[in-house]
Amino acid sequence: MNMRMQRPSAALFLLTSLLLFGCEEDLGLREAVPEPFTLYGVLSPDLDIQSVRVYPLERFLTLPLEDPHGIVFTSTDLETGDQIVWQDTVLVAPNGQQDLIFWAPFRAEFGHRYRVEATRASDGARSYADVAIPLPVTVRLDEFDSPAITETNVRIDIEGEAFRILKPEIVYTITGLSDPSTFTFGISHQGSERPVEKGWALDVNLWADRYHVQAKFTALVGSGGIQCPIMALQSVALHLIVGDPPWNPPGGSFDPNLLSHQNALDNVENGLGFVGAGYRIAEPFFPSREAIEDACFVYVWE
Amino acid sequence: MCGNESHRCKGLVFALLVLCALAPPVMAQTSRINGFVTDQSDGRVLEGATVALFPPDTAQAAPLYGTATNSEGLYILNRVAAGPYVLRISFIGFNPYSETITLRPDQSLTVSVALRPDPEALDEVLVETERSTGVARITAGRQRIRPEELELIPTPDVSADLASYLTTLPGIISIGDRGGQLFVRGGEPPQNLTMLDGMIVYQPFHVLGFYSAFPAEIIDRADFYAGGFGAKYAGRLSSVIDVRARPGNNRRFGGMASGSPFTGALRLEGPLLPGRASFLVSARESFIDQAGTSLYKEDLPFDFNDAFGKIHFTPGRRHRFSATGFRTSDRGRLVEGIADTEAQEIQWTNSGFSLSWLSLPRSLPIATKLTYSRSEHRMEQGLPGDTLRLSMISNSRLTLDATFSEGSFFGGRSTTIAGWDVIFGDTRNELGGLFQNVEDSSTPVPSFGFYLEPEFVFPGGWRLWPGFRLQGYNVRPLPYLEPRLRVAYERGTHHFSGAAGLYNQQVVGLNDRRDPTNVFTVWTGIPRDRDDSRGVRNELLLGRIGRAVHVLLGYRSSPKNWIEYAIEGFYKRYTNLFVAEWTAFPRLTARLQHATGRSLGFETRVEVRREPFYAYLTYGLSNTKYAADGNAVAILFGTTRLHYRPPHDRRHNVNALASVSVRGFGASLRWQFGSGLPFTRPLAFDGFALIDDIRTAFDLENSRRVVYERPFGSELPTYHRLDASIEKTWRIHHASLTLQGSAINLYDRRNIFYVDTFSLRRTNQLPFLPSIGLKVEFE
Repeated sequence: MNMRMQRPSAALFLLTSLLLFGCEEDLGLREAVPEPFTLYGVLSPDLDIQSVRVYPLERFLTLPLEDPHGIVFTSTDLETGDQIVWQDTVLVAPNGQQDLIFWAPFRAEFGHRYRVEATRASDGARSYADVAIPLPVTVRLDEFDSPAITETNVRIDIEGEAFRILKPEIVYTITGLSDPSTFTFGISHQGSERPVEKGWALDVNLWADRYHVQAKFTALVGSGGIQCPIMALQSVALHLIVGDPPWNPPGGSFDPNLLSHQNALDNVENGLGFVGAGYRIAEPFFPSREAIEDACFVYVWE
Repeated sequence: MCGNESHRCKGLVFALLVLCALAPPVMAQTSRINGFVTDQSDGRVLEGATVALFPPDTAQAAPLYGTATNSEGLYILNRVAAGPYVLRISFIGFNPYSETITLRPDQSLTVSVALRPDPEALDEVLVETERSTGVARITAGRQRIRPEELELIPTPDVSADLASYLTTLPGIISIGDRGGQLFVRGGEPPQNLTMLDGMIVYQPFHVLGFYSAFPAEIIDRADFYAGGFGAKYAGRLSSVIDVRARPGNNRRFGGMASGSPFTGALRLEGPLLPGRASFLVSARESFIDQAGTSLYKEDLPFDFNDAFGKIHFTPGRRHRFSATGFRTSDRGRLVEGIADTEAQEIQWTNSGFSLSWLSLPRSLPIATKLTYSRSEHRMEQGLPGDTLRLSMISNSRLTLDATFSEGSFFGGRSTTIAGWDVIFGDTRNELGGLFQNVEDSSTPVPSFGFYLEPEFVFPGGWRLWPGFRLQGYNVRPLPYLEPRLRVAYERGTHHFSGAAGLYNQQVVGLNDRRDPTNVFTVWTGIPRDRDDSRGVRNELLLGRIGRAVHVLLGYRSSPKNWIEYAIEGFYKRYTNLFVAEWTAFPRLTARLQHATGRSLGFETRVEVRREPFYAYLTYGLSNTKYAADGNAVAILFGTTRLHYRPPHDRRHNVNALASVSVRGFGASLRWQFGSGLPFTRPLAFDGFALIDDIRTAFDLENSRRVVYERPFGSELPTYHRLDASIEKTWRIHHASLTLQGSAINLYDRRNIFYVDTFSLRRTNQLPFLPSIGLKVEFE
């Protein structure tokens, strides 16, 4: 009799066990995120307005965004103590994506340090970044005879205080032999900059640059069957960004696959993202006729 | 002369010495006798048949010479003294064959025999088959699988398949029941060498995990090496599945038709020339796409089919010729579309043919097997009708294997197998930037190899397979020396075995395993850098060939007739692997980085056979770790090497099977358990903008971003599932009818397949799916 009683119980136990086995387990996704905001932007004397994108760190992909009025964004000039409350703008992309931008109409001052700060009104949680606009720099050109044509024959010194250079390129403006149109090509020297006592130095080999200019030129207009087209050099200029020292992309280049990682380039306290500070310079320079002709350009400046 | 390569030269010298040592027996032979042993009823070869030469006048005397047939049904007795003998060939379940012969000096006599089955001893055949196979019958990583074993695994289909069986083995990890990806003892799918009658099959498993290119209907046997494979095999780092398709019945016509909501299958076989030539064709088509919607109310977007054909011809006593061809096709959707976007499809095809000629040259004391095969594989990913990515690989392969010595060796006997192969391989990829530092182009991947692998059987129970392989690839002028060793020792019921070897892989299958649903595999040669936007050349990627070292040690025992158990430990070390560099954009593109890996663990198996009951229980414990050391690792994680668990690192794996057969009914239950697989947990959503210039935030290009924790730092829930089947077979004259009912995932466990990190939508593996199938066979 007892055995008969036990059989339904055992079956019930088995059935319950199986049903429990079938249950779905929680993956523990999206537990609370301690940091409130991710910030992206650049403060610069070059810009009439200063602006920063603000992304609340959310546990779920929500549309629309968190109410922008629940965020207070300020900038503080750490040299003068002046504080500005920034305005908000919500950009809506055609795909419905909303982006929150805070901005303020002022020019950042050379040599000033700023703190940009986003504060969540509801609980006071804040993320902030301190940035410094470098002082103006001076550019000095030093041309010399190199023992081989492929070696450096122009050294450019960029001198100043507490800065680094980003995306340096030499911009060549040329004309072809038969075509009066001018063409401008920028040759990147990213990665070849090196720190020196007073700032940064850039080693340039005009002959090697000419090789790249020629490749771009022939890709654009065709070689016309000529292996080495004649290019008259109209101007040469150094273009680069003078940036805050933390604006230092890992690996020396701006690779979105790397930089998209939350820890790759991050200067935001209690948050994620990066706020840069800096300005652009474009400095023309005039190599000697000998250097230009050694690089196989046609000299036209006389 | 050898310079820095002196150690390799020493290896070559050693190999030549081994060759020289083996040469005298070859040259000094006198008379010899050889031939094939087959089953008279259908022409199948009989492996393990005993062949013995007795003195002519004393019937009960001990044999003067003896051997056993190999997997080709071939026997060779060399260096036999001239004179009269009684040749006896026997195999359990068959009437023995006996013939008086007289060997003249230097005569080469070929006696090929077709044994007649003994109807009263058919059960013995089954017993014999079971003794040489079974889940616990593992020797140094090698397991022989017969089609009868596949029938025991509950599947939603009345026709069995090799894939369903393989996933019950403890060292094999399947990430999901879709996608056709099997990981063997820490190795990844492209590191598994799968062969069918000498053809390389690049993607042997169908998109739905129960099925492969190898239905039980066509299999004669499959040799599965979970590691430590011998010198005959090359070009892969992890494992070997060597499938031999059976020839068709060369005496009688036969056929089969089966159907279920999952698939329909057909088989036809019979003689082309009775007793000499046969054919076998089979085809299978899936219905699950339609049945999923109409019967199960589930979205099961999987479509596959396969076709197979084999012709076997015996033109004379000394020759066997066979031609095999196959084709598979798969299409499926492994992920759902996000929001209103259409989901991408993955599709692939395999095709190939092989021609094989097995010969016993009259003038040489060897058996040769010349095989030419060609196979190709094409995989595409993209929206339906719009291919986004494409990867193709093809090869023409010519091999010559020779069994060139059979004789005594230090009181034991030896058989030496040697051979060479030449492969002309080619890959073509159109990746749409999938792997940023892999070129989209055609890449030739030629290779050649020479191997030598003697087998020494010593008195006292020792068996030794020392082997080596010289393998040449186009990444360097000198060939690679790959030493291999397999050893077994048997004493009473105790059986010890071990294996070790060095392996190289030139043709790599690249896969972005950051996303478990991404099974798109790029076949290519060793990746070379291209257009590194960071301006840094990653020297680690240049020309380094994938390499693995295996060490295995096992013990097996069968204390009673009805029980057998085995335990085997393994260690595999991988170097020069290529893994996707971690980024926050998992579905777009990836950069490859260099990695090393190691996997270690052990497996235990217990197998019980007691009529009418059959059961086994297996448990595998493994630990697999990768260490990535590309440029990005230091940048992203602040360490020179990122150690992590790859997504197939399943630590615990349990499989239980119970089967009973009573009064024409057969019932099977199978339960699987696997501990959680590693995954990368998403933490939050925010956005990303590239700060690379002086511009306002209004002008910044930006996108939404998922913030992840450290790669593969979390673990998915455990996986378990119970499957069951019951079937009844009715026999009517020369036909039989089988009705099968089955259920997959009996208690409807919500096993996770993946979670979409953007929508947090969870996709589970197959739910509870009952099925009914019908099979008709005739002969």
